[in-house]
Amino acid sequence: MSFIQIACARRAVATCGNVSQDQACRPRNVDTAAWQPTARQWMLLASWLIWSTMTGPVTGQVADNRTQPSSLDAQVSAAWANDPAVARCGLCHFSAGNAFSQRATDFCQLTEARQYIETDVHAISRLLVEPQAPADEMPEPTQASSRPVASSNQLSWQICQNLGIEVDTDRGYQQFRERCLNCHAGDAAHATPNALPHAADALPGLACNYCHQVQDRSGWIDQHSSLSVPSRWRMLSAAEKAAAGMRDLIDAAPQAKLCGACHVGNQAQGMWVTHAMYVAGHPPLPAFELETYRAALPPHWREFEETYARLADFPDRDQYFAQLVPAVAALEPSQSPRDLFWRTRGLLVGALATAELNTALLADAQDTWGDYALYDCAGCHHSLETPSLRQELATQEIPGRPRTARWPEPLLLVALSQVDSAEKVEAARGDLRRAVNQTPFGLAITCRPLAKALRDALQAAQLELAQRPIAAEQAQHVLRNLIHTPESLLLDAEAARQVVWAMQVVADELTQRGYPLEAELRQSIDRLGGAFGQPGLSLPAPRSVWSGSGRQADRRPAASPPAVDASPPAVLSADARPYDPRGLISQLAKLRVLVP
Amino acid sequence: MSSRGSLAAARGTLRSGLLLTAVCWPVGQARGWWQTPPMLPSPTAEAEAEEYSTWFEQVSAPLRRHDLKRESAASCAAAACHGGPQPGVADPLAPGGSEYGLWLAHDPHARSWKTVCGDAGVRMMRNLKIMVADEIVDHQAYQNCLACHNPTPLTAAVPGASGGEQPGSGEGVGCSGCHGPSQNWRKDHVRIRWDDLTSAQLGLVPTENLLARARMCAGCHVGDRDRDMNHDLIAAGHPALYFEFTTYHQRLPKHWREPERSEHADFESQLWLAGQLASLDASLDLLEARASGQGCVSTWPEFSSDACSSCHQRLTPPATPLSADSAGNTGRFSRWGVWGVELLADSVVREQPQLVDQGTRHELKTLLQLMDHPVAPDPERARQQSRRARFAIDQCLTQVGWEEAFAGFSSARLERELASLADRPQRLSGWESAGQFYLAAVASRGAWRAPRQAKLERDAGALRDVLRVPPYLASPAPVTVHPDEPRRRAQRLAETLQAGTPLQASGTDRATKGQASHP
Repeated sequence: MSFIQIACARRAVATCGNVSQDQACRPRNVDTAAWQPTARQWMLLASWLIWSTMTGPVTGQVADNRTQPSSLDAQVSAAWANDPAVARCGLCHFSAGNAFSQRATDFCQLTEARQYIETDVHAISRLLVEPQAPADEMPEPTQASSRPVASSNQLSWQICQNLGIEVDTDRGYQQFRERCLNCHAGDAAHATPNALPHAADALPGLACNYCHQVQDRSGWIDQHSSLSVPSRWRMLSAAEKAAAGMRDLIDAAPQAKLCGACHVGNQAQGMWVTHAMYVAGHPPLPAFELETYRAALPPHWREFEETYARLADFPDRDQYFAQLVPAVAALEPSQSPRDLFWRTRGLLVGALATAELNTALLADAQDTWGDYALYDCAGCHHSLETPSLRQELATQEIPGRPRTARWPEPLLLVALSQVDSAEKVEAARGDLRRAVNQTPFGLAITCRPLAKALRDALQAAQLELAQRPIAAEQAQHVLRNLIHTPESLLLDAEAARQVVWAMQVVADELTQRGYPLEAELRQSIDRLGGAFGQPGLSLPAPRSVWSGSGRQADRRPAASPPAVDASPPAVLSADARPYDPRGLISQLAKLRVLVP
Repeated sequence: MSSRGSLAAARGTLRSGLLLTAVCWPVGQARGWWQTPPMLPSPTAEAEAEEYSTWFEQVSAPLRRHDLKRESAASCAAAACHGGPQPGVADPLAPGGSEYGLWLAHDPHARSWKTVCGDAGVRMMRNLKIMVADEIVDHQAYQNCLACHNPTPLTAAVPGASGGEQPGSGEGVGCSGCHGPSQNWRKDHVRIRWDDLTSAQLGLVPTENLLARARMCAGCHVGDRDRDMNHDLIAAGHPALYFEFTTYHQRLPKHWREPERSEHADFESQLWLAGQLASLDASLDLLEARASGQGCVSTWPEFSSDACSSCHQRLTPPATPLSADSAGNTGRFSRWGVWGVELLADSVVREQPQLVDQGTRHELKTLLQLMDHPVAPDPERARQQSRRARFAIDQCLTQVGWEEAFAGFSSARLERELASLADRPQRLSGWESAGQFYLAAVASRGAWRAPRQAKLERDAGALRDVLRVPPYLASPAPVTVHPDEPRRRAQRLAETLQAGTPLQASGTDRATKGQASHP
């Protein structure tokens, strides 16, 4: 089932009007011959296809890495072209040089929509999970390394089967929609999620407005793009823009909360992978770290440094950034926004925001209290060997009890070292940990208020940190703290990976900003991934892995380029070598000699 | 109407009645119309269950008597009593009187105190904060350790501990640890043989009765209200408990003789049945204590009675095959009692209406459904239901009678029940279920005969090979066996059992030992 067929099905429904609403929700058994596009739709589709196959690249660098669109990419582009909202964005943000780009191009590239649709894995996030029954009976695995599924779509179908969801029925597809598409299709962004049909149901992934718009409030679009009326739009604060309907994503905190809603979870919005879904086959979510995840995406945005430099002639440049970034507003007169270490700042702010989201999962748990996915995966899924490092490095908690998630802790501690409100957070964190540990799973009536208190404390710390200018001195301090992470926090692979990711982010930024590390230190940091085995430090889902096309996503120079393979990524492989905490602890011990 | 006409009408009515009966009876039998409805305890019965002391409770009560003085094993070791010269463990003709020496030299229970004192025990107590800086600080938890490892109270302190407990040397599980405190029976037990319950009232565990013996062992090896080896201890380093009475019994160096009984071909299967019933009772006792929260070191909900492999498994494929709970939900959570209860409750009980009646099955089923809760079953309901299940089992076994129950349970019978699992392979899924099946199958080996005996031994050996180290429990050790492999091999063994097993009992189930070798 391709998404051009899905799009056709929507149009067939709209045209004929004799299909039930439930049937309209399910892209199944589609008769493509029934599609009767309007003249406007034909024009949009034709122009989009011409653009996507004929137009040259925007920059030379992109040209080097681009590949010709595969049939899948063409289908995706066609599906996106059929969506009025995305087509409207594409009028300005598809290709530079059109009539709309005569003004203020230093603020944006005006090629964002195209870059996103062609290269970003989020643009095909629904396409990847649309359930597809295997053509034949799936072979029973006979070897330890054999896999029962060949594609993400078959995996999705298998997950639904394991959950007792018959996706071939109307009711079953609606269940799939409610459980999966809040994240994978961005349904949660709508004021009435899962109440379909709506136009977005034909799209292969997250549309532009999922990230950039607050729910269905679209009034901001005219305001931010007006050519004829002099606009003060740019000088509005983030809150004022949000009131008009636009989510400003220049600062790290809104970025972290937006991404974290899916990559950590948000129960209030129905975006959360339950333990039953994991058991049924949903891949484990890698622990979220904002800067590493951002770096793994093909950017359709400009980083702060470049935007700041390009706006050199903009008279209200500093005021513009001060409106949107509290740290810029808090700068001393002698300081410049150029002095800020944006990636390190994003790392720290993102750590607090991520911890807040993770705590909110407990605070918001009502019927789901006690679901195992609320707790630390490694609390149960660990080796049973004894005696073990797990027992040697045990904390004060009673062993053998479910515990709160450990993976946010290393970066949270580093972030808290930058704020004065750390003590309040630590006290609230201790209260919650003790309460969850005291009774297995914790009593909801006791733990939920404590989780809310911790969430509030983290929000306060986040506000404080957002106003702290993070410069070279702070970045060096952060790197030192990461190197001295307590060994007990390195037992869990996800927590350890957060530490290594963070060290590489800070080391990269220090080097790029003219504060090079000693060669031995730098090489040691780059080698830290050795303790992780497969899949190591890489994130599992650049688009090229899934679709066999698209640009190389990881902007870090990779030791070995990822293999192009249509099968699910290496994190799901049975051959994945497990994490070795002793190896990483030993490597960090050597680093501590270099950075005492 | 004439008398001839009345007679003809009566004959017609009789014929119709007989015809109706002939048609309806088999149908009703097949559909269960004539069966007694499940025994649902009335409020009166429930109150009775609360106050009732089951047979198992009574025979194991001596081990919980704190009002009687427990004497050390040395008090039994007089040369004229149990401390005579050792005749050799393998000599079945040797006279009695050497029990103390045999126990001291060969029985691992004589060294259980050293387990507590050893590096592993001390490390465990430190992990649990029972011991801090070489001193016992959590005395309740420490006594919980001693309850099994050194039940003769307060005779020992941990080496290196600077204070707290009385100094002395532990003796491990001594005579009183299994036979009960001897204060009331020490003088008379050489000349009087009491019945089981009288013996228990005096403080002597009637260990000649296999059920009482199994229950005595299960008190520690499964646990009960006074001996609670919970998940906290396992996380601190204590091995998980996988008790199967036949295996433990046969591997234990004996300090007693019972040649007539032990050489019978059905002995191992009867040990198995006794072990299953005793383990079930101990599990229910432990569950009741944990749910009540009184005098118990565990905190509800307690995980140690669940299948370890249901949680502790690799996150990357191939994972353990999904299992469904009683409501049909797949892989949501672990199940209570998978090791000690499942095979008896789900398989054998199903086929043994004369042994465990419908009411008991109903109570067990209700309990299993109650415990199939994703987080924490309601503790008060769990306590009440475990009590009711114990009560129902006791009522049922009392009605049947112990002797009759065992007389009807042969190796061939056990083999038949296990063979029926070939048609329900989902019940063999998971390391615990496959392991329990293997041990039960081996307990039925008294019925194995040529020519299929060789294949049975081969299939049993193949299953044992993959059960030795559950690979997904040994992470990060490399995975060498697919997690579903134990289930596949268990099913193969069940099919082999089924291939040579008549569906109905032949009446010649009982056999003499010596025709089957030991895999």
